[in-house]
Amino acid sequence: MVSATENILNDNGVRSQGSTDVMKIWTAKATDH
Amino acid sequence: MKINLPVLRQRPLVIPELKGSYPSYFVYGPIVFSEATTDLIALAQRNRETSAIVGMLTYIGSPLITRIGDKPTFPGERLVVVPCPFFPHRLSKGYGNPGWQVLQTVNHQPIKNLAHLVEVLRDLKDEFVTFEFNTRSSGEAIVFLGPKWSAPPKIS
Repeated sequence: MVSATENILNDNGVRSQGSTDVMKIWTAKATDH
Repeated sequence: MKINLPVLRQRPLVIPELKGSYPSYFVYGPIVFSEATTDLIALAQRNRETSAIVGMLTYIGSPLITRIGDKPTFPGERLVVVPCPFFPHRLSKGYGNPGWQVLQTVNHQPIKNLAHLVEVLRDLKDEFVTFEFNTRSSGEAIVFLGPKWSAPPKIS
């Protein structure tokens, strides 16, 4: 799914998967439940 | 008599104004998520072509209409909305346009705001992720692969 998202972003000229505030969350280490 | 009371400079709203800032967004596969703002709703009312969207949102009982002016029911509550149609991709084939729909749950977990959605997706270990939207009719759920899963290669 990650690569599909990257392809979609590239195909549509979108530079980032998300705004800066949410990308900090996305790239943070996943919490253990 | 003199009374000192803290006052709010602005009323907290579940659908706030952007106040000149850029909206936060997140792309997952072909779908874009953002938070509902009064600016987004005003966009729909701006001209005749898009004003039909407001009628459609009213008809389906969208929280974008029913919750305008509401206070958040818990700290940080926001409406997560799909602000535009799918990006063109085979993953979205067969689904209707989710534009202007409000996300309710991800894998049956209620979503509180955009940051919470990103946390839920980030921590998801399931093979599939199901997005369910908040409409008076049951609407259509969208199912994609989970973030840590990839589609099997095409066999030609």
